[in-house]
Parts: sequence; C-alpha cells; structure tokens
Amino acid sequence: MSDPLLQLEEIVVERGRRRILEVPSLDVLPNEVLAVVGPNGAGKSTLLRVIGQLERPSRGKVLFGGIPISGNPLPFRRRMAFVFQEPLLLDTSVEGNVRSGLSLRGVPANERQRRVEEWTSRFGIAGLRRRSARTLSGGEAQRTSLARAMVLEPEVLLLDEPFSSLDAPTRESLIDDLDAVLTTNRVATVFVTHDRTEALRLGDRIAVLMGGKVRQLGTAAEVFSSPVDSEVAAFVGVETILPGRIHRLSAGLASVAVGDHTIEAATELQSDADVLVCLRPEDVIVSGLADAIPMSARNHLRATITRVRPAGPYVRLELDAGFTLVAHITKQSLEELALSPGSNAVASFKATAVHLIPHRPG
Amino acid sequence: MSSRTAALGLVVASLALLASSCGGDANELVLGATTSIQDTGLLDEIVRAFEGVTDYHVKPSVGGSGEVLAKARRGELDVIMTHSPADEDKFIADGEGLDKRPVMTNFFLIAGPEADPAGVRGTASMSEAFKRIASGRTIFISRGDQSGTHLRELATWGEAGITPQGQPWYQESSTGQGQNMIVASDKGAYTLVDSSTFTVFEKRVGLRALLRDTEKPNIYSVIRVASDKHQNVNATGAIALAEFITSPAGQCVIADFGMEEYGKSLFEPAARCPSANVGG
Amino acid sequence: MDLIWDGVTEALRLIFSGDSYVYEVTFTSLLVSGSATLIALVLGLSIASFLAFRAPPGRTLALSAFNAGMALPPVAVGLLVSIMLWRTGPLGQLHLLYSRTAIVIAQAVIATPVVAALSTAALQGLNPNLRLQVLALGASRWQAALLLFREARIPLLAAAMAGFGAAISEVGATIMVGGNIKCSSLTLTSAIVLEVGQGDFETAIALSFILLAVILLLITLFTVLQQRRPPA
Repeated sequence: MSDPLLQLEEIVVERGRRRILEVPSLDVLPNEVLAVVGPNGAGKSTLLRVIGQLERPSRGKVLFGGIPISGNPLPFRRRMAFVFQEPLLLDTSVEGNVRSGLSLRGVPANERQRRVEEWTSRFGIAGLRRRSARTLSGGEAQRTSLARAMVLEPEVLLLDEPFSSLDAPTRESLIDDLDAVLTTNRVATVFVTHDRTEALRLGDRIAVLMGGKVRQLGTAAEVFSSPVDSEVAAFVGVETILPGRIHRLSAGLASVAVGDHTIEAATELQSDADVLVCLRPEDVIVSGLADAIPMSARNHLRATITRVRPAGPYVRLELDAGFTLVAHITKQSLEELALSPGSNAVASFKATAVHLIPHRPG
Repeated sequence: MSSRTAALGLVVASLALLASSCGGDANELVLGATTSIQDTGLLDEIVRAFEGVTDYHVKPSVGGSGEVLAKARRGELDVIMTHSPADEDKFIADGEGLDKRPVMTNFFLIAGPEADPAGVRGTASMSEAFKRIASGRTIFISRGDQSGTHLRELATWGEAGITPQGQPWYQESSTGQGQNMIVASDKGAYTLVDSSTFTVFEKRVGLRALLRDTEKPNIYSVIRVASDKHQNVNATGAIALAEFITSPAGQCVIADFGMEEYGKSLFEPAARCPSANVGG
Repeated sequence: MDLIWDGVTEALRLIFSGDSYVYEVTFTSLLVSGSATLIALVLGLSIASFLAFRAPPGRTLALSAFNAGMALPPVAVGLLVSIMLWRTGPLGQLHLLYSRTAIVIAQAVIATPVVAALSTAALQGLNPNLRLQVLALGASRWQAALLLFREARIPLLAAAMAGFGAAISEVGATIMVGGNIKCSSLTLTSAIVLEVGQGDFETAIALSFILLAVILLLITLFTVLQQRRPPA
C-alpha cells in the first residue's frame, strides 16, 4: 500500500449550528478512483470542495503528499482539477474553454496547443473545437468540462456528480469514455455520485457517506455485499432487511430465526443473538411450487407473491413469507412461471448470499 | 494584479489632469453676482475684460441677492455685486463687507400684456399701479426668491398697503429674471422686472413696458468681503476687481454693453465713460 | 415648432463651422463625465464583486443603500458636495470648488451607486458555482473577478451605460459645484441652462441636439460592444 496522496484529518464542517460534515480520517491513494456515494444532502459535495481547497473546513486539515495545506490555497488548487455537475462553461468556444485553465496555470504556449488537441480527441469533441459553448448539447458540454480538467494534467481529479444531469444514453457513453481515460491515465480521482451503479463501475474503493459521516470504506464487494449497518444496507440496494435471532452458530454457519422461518446464513460473527438479515433482491431465486428445488441453496421459503412491478430490464417481486422478501427476476421467467399477485411460489437463496449485521434493538 | 493598478493609475492620472486645468488658488477670485447680471450677459463681459488685464481667474458664483449675501457671510466669496441696498447696508453694518462702491444703475419697470386690463399705463407712481393690479385682480408674477427685484417689489406692496401673499392672483415663480418674464408672458400677467433684462428678453415675450420707475433707480454696488473676518478671502483680488469695475476702463465696458445689439447701454455706469456715447 | 427646427439648423451650423464655444463645452462634458464614469466603474465594480462574491453579512442592507442611491436626487448631491468643498468646509483647503475636478467628484458620487447596484445584480445573476469552477481552474481572486466580469459583460456594460448616462445628463450638481466658468467648467448641460437664462433659445436647443447626438453616438458604440458575439 503506497503512501496516500491526500489525507483528511479531523475534518469538521459546520454551517451555523448544523454539522454538515464530520470525517476524522480519509485517505486518497495515488492512482486510485475513490467513489464517494451517499444520498442527497449527505455532504458529498462539501467533502469534495474541502479536498479541492474551495471551501475551508471549520476544523481539521488536509494533507497533500504528506504536507499540511495552509495559507494560500491557490498553489494546491493548481495541482488539482474539479468537474461539477453542471458543465459551467465560459462564454467562448470549446477550444477557448479547454484552454482556459492552461493559461491561468501558466502552461507554456507551445505545450497548450498539443494538450488541447490530445484531450479534445480523447473525449470525442475534436470536431467541435470552434463551436461556441452556448450551442453544445448537455453531453458535449460535459465532455468539454472533462477535457478542460484533464488537459491540466492534474495530480488529483475531483468529480462532483458529473453525469447526474445527463440522460441515460449520454451518461453511458460518457462513463465509458471516462473509464477508458482513467484506466490509461492513472490519476488519483475522487468521484462523488448518488448512483450506486456508477460507483461500482468506476470506483476502486467506495466510501459511503451518510449524514456527513463516512459509514463504510472498502472495495465494492465489501460495501455492497457486506454493508456495515442497516442504513448503509438500504442505500446500497439491499432491499430485504429483517430482524432475527441467531439460535445456533457453528463453523461459520448461523441459523437465524426470522418470523416463523429459520434462515441459514454464512457469517463471520462469533456470537450475539440479535441480528439483521440482509438479502439482495438479485440473490433471491423464485420458483413455482411444483418446480425442482436447487440443491446448493440452503434456504427455501414458501411465499405468496404480493406485488409485481416492472423495473427496467427486470421485474421486481414482493413476496410474503410471513415477512416481506424482495426478488428481481427477468420478464421471461415471470411469464414462464406464470406468476402474478396471489400466486404461491418458493423463494430460494444461498446461505452465502445472506449477510448478517449485529443489531442492537432499542 | 497589473490590470488593477493600471485602472487606478488611469483614474489618478485623469483626476490630476482635471485638477491642473484652469487656475491655481492664488489667482482665484470668487465673485458673487446676482442673476440679472449673468442673464443679460454683462457678467461674461466684465470677467473677460478683467481677466484680460490681470492674472486673476474669476470664478463667478451666481444666485439671487439672498444667496449671494449668505455665501459672502460665510467667507465663500471674495467680492460681490448685488442690487439690494437694505440688505447690503446690513451686511456692512454687521462687519461682513467693506468699501461699498456704486457700479451701475438701471431702473425697474412693470411689464404686462399689451391690453393692460388693470390700467397700469400712465399711473402716477409704482404703488398706485400696484393698487390697481390688486383691485383688478389681474395676475401678478413675483420672483419670490429674496432677490433684489423681489425685495423692491415687496417694498412697493408695503407702500401700497397691500398684502399680496396668499391671494389667488399673486403667484411666485421662484425663477431667474428672464425665466420669470417668460412665465408672466405665458400667463398674460404683470410682473416687476429690471430694464436691462427686459431689453434683452423683450423680443421673446409678449409683454410691454407699461410703467417705468424713474424715482428710485436700481443701484448695483460692488462690496468687498471682510478679509479680517474670514481667513481665506482673496483681499488683494477683491480690491483689484473693485478698482477695475469702478475705473474708467471698467465703466466703459459697462457703457458699451448692449450698444451694438440694442443701440443703447443696458446698464448706466455710475461714473462717466470718457469716450462713450451714453444713450438713454 | 419653428424654434426646434431653428435649433437643429443652428446645431449643424455650430458643428460644421467649428465654433470653439461648442467644441470647448462638448469636450468639457465628455472629459468630465468620462472621468466620472471611469471612477464610478472602478469603485462600483469593486463594491459589486465584494458584495456578490464574498456575500458579507449585512449585504442586503448595503445593497439597499446602493439601490436607493440610484434614485439620489443629483441636486442634493451637488449641494452636499459643494458644502464639502466650500472654503469653510472639510475639503476647502483643496480649492476644488468651481473646477472640473469638483464636477467630476459630484458626477462620480451620482454615478457610483448606479454602477454598483446594477453591477451587483449582474454578478449575482451568474451561476454561483461558476466562480468556484473558475477558482478551481487555478484563477487567483483577481483573475477570477476579471473572468467573471467577462461572463457578465452584457449586464455590466448596461450598468456602465447607465452610469455614464447619469453623469453626462446631470445638471443641478454640475452647476452648483462647477460654476459656469466658460473656460473650463461649463458643460453641455449647464450651458443649456445658461443659454436659456440669457434668452438664447436657439443656442440652447442647438446644444441640446448636440448633447443628444453625443450621447447617442457613445451609447451606440457601447451597445455594439455589448452585443458582440465572442469569437465562435
């Protein structure tokens, strides 16, 4: 593990009486993409602005390459680049915009042209160089903003929900291009988003920020499959969260009483009786009563379908097994199984798909 | 950084440029004059002539006699030219002014519509005429600004035993001499005006000179502001101007003024101009 | 009506005969009002960037004062400035009364609130994140201010024109502090008043037309500048 490029220490941001952000410690490693996810109002933008030296925290400090940042923030800003949710372009041509940071940072004139050409091609806007910024579409404008940032060859790239105001196909295309750029030019990036799939796609590590605090920091797998508490779980897309009690535990396998059922879960918990049982909807397999039961799955619950709702490429089912289970299945499966509200079915899932969180009731 | 200092530099430079234009302070002479002197154009002539023979830069401060005397009392003026004898005497008695000298005279007249509904033409005296205007309830426009003309007008009302203020036919225009005539002309009203202004504005308005006040001429005097009372008064300059305007040279300027355009002097100089044909 | 027509012909005659009185007076107006506008721009833009970008506490109160200042009666300003410049006043030692400088001061006092109020509104109209973006690109506070002024140039130029208009059309304060000294402190507006006072209506109307023409010319220039599309 190399030395962190950026370190946040004891950062607190207060506005009036409200504590917006409280981060005792956070590192950004060189060459990594750190995705910061959280619901709206969690303080993500504030965090990014503190890192980018655009906002002074009420307390705490930021270290850049081990050196605490103090005094005039301008030299440090000039080592980073920031992209906002809106393109925030200047009223000039695309080329003028991409150049703007270069002249501010005193990059030599001959170098400027080369960089502008390179980065406008890499973001696919080379043909738009002469166009006025006012005439660009949302996607073109955001590409310009990204090119404007990357052309500066920053040590740290800060992205504040750069795709949130774009429509889905534009967003897809732009994420692809950004992914390619970040893979080729490994630059330390802090990427803020409220969209989990974006975070999964681009992030090497993921920090979950809720209520101004970092609730969990880890790899995608760690955060998404093993959320540290119920709030994080809910945010990262765990849709079934049920209170239960462990009544037997041996060799990493727990038997948890949930309602009238017993659910088997693979866990590292050593003890403790009260838990929350977390289950991702994509891990729940639904079958008809008469169908063959998959043998490696240890959990099979009889349930009644209570709700069927199409959700994009899949279908979201709510099942009642004495408690509510949520499952995602394909449309084809829905038709093949002839499921509808009121149908009886079996919900199956593996013990390894179940994640237990210790739960302190009350 | 540099563009800010450039902008500030530009501002300072332009201020410096402006400040340096036209006159330092040792040669500055502030002359308080009443509006009739400016409105007739005589003030420009006097200033031009004076500056032609001296190094002084005259800065005229023009207003009604009331305003001029008030400013003089504050020491804001070096020398004044007014035509309000009662106020002038008080001014000197209060120790504010020195060395009052008569400069020129004209006379007051009542101007009014050709038709003369109040029958002012041919009345025996000014106060008689005023009585007729009051009883005929024809409109009278007053300067209303404590100027010399206004004070003379009020004195005449006093003589006639009439209080015109508040009466519906008595209106105050609060304007300068020339403007006042225009207002009166528009309304077909009577007004009191000095002869010089009347001559200048006569062709502009539909008023006629109905009665001249030959008994009490309108005397313009020059008074130096008391330099012992006020620190910054340019005493030498004031003396120079007072001397000039009462000297033959100055008096000739006054005598000549109006000759070309009107065929007569607009103002009668207090002393004779040796070479002039002084008309009536 | 014929008086107005006479005025127009007189105006043309005065211009083309190179009448020194008219050129002198026009030059004085332009010099004085131009300087006053420049001062108003420097002061007004500084105030505007402070209020718009730093958003200090009490901003609304300060802004109310400047907005009200747009409606300041010029003649009241003239009286106050002249009292300051009187020999007995605090700035009397500077001997500025009845000079071009005094007029510049008075007109600058009148124009600055106009420029400040309208410029603040112009800058507040910018996206608040734009300033952060510009700072993030590496601009110092000054570079950022200039960049943002360029972004807001349309309403800012309107503010400049409003300030200039306030200065050049002003007459009450000008007469009070400038005196009507033919050599130096007579502007187009005060000359118009003087000519009317002396009954020279044709000259007064001629000067009015010249003043209007000057204003129209300058404002057109500004407007063209304002509406120019940036190089695409």
